[in-house]
Amino acid sequence: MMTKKTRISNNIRTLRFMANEMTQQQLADLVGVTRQTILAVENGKYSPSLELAFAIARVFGKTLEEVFSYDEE
Amino acid sequence: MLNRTKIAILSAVTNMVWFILTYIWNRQRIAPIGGEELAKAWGVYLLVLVVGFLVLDALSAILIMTIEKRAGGQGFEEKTDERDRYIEGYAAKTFRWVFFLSFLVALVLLAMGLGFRTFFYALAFTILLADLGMWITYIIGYERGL
Repeated sequence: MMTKKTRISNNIRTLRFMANEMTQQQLADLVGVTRQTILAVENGKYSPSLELAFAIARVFGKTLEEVFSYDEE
Repeated sequence: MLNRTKIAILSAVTNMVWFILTYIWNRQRIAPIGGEELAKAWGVYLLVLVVGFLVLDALSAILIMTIEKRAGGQGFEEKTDERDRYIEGYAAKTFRWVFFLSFLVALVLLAMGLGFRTFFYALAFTILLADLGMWITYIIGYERGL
């Protein structure tokens, strides 16, 4: 089934790797969602809520714009 | 494939099978009936259909989660988060719209004078279509994204 990509892209996978190779499950536990949701966010299948986006950015000590970007096209 | 997708697929399939079985059972049952007895018989059938759907949905979830738990997963301890609620919202919306439109079709058929039997058959299909629409939305939501 072809994935419907959202307009919001992110570099969560890279940031996880740089954070001592944090796993998706570890990140999910830190922000209070399931591993499948983190996977969906990373693959662009799901746009996180503002609250979740901020929580993810806070885990990595980054701003929202450093983690997420909006594709104009 | 995600557990919730598996639950959706299993629910959709079992509900379809339940519909077919009860449809055949009902057709034979109501053939000689008329008048008020017919309406009562249809009421019983629709209740059996809906209750059957609910029971099968619950059993599907229990089965998939139990298998997953035995395979070393979280089973029913798996939490429900914002994405689950988001997809559930879409699925509920699909159910409402399909039910409403199908019910409208059933009313049109009744208004056209096609009789109570046709109306009740349309009602049964209304329930089936709304149910399938909901599960398909779950599958698309989890596998492709909404």
